[in-house]
Amino acid sequence: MISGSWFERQKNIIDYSLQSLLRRRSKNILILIIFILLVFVVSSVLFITGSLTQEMMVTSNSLPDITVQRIVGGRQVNLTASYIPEIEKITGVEIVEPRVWGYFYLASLQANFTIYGMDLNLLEEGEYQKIVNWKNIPDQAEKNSDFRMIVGQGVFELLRDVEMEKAYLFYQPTWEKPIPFDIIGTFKTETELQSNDMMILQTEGARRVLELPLDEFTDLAVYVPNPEEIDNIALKIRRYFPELRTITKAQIKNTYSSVFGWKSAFVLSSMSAAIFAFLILIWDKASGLSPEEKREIGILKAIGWDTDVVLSVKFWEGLILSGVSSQAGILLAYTYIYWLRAPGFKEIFLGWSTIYPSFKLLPDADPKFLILIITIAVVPYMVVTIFPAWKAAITDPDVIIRNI
Amino acid sequence: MAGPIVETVGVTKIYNRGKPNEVTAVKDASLKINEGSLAVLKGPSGSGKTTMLSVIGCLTAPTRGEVVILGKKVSKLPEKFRNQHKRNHIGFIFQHFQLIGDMSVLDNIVLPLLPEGISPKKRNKRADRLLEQFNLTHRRHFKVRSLSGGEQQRVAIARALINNAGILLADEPTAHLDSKLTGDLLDYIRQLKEAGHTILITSHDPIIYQNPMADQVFEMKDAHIISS
Ligand SMILES: Nc1ncnc2c1ncn2[C@@H]1O[C@H](COP(=O)(O)OP(=O)(O)OP(=O)(O)O)[C@@H](O)[C@H]1O
Ligand SMILES: [Mg+2]
Repeated sequence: MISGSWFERQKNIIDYSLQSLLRRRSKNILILIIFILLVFVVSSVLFITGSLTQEMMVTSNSLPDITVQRIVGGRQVNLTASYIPEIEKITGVEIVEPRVWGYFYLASLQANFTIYGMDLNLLEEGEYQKIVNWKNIPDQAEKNSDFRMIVGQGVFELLRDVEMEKAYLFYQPTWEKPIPFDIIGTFKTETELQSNDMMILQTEGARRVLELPLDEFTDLAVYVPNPEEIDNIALKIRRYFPELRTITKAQIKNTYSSVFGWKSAFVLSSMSAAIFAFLILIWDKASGLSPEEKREIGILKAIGWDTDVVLSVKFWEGLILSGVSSQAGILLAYTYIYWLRAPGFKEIFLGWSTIYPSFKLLPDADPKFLILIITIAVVPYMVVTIFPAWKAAITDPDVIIRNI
Repeated sequence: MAGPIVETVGVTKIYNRGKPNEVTAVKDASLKINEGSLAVLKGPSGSGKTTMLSVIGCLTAPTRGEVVILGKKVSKLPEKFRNQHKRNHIGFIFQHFQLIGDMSVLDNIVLPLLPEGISPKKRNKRADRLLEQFNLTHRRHFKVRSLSGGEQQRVAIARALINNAGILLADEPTAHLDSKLTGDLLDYIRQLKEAGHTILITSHDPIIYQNPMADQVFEMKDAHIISS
């Protein structure tokens, strides 16, 4: 009788588990594939939801505290500057900015884009400077031009495809001639989801493109330093001016997250039949032991293996199989969502918006969330597989040995 | 010769106790096997030979009675300690060999050593000696499934010996062998006996129980030991 070390014993047990997985290759490969698919589907949905929600949150932080629109006949119409001093009088309001924006159909790209008017010189300072990739910094002569713009990365790539990455010609059939705009920068990816299809034009130029009269604005952005007061001030604005509609930042955020939450629930539930079928398949394959496996457990016990050793073999088998496949599933989902940009999948989530092939998702892999997925995948699998093994392992081996 | 190395005192084994299919497989069986002897347990089919061997081999606990191996009352020990005692002192050769068919000859033979934490190098060294002894070296890496019945039996014997157990139990070892292989087996038994092993064989084959090598013959009938 030679007695070995504890370490050598664990190594032997793990070796045996690996060997045993390989011996039942066909069964285990099937489980592996189904398992990977299952984890892949679920984590893809969670990844895309998580990353879209996060991106929405990032972009919505730059939203005004209150957006004020004028409604006539149930439609949003332009408003004049006369509201600005009135609203600024309300206590708690810091500043009211009139905004110029609208949609424009770009015939050469065959798509609708959002056009914002803004004083681009402001973007060269402070906070904003960081979210723009500046192209060739315009010289002084161009600097005050009305015909400058900054575009989202998606727009930029599309423009590059039609060789207009330096300047774009806006055109409507009703116009005498096209209006050329210089592209002086693009937005960085942190704000990509919203800014992807966005074009920010120097205000005066935007008015020309959107055919907006000089004294009119699309809406008003109201800034309130104290978040506690936002709802109250919005209420006051609506009370003083019944023709105005207010949208708070919180309302927009809620809409975003509920849209994505709803969509992921929708996707998961429409896939639930497939997920359920996968679960049944795994259950069928993994739970319960084949007569062959029962016999093997009986043999191990009969030649002197203790019950806990037999169980630790089964434990390692389950841990290796489910651990490897859940990590592979997560890795595949990560690749699919973030590298391949979720073909066929993101459309479900972004169907309400104009989406371009260049759309990129930001990796948002919270380690806590990864651990959660792995736990959800591994623990039930271990329970399902260990239980029958335990039942077989506590049986006297002489009974198993007789049932050849 | 030395005193008893295996002793059973009033062993009774009842299967499916309290159920309609209750069976008393062994009743009140007492025997003593001396160290170094070849003992044979004979009797008709269903008389309880395999059950007796399982109880002595610590594969199952007796319902009543005592099993003493090398002075230790194993039937009273908790499973873990009983198992330990078994691993150290008993090698079991099952009637249907009970090898793992899709594993190699070598892996099957060293199986009992894995939970002991013995390194691959050490266990292969031990296995190589046994492979040599039982003329299996050329089958070392073959899957057991692809071996002949005689070869499989030699693998089963080698596995029973890998722990250097002093006591060998064999259940109907000639049941699947032709006369040539039976002759070979008797040679191996002789070698093991000469090497000092205590051997207990169940058999209803006269070539075993009438063999001059047999030092002790116990006869079972209807769950009882009727003569020794
Ligand atoms: N696990 C078990 N459950 C129920 N009954 C059993 C069990 N094991 C053995 N028996 C019964 O106990 C009796 C004795 O069986 P055992 O296998 O010990 O006889 P045997 O003498 O070895 O027979 P054979 O010569 O045919 O191998 C038989 O009636 C058998 O059906
Ligand atoms: Mg029998």
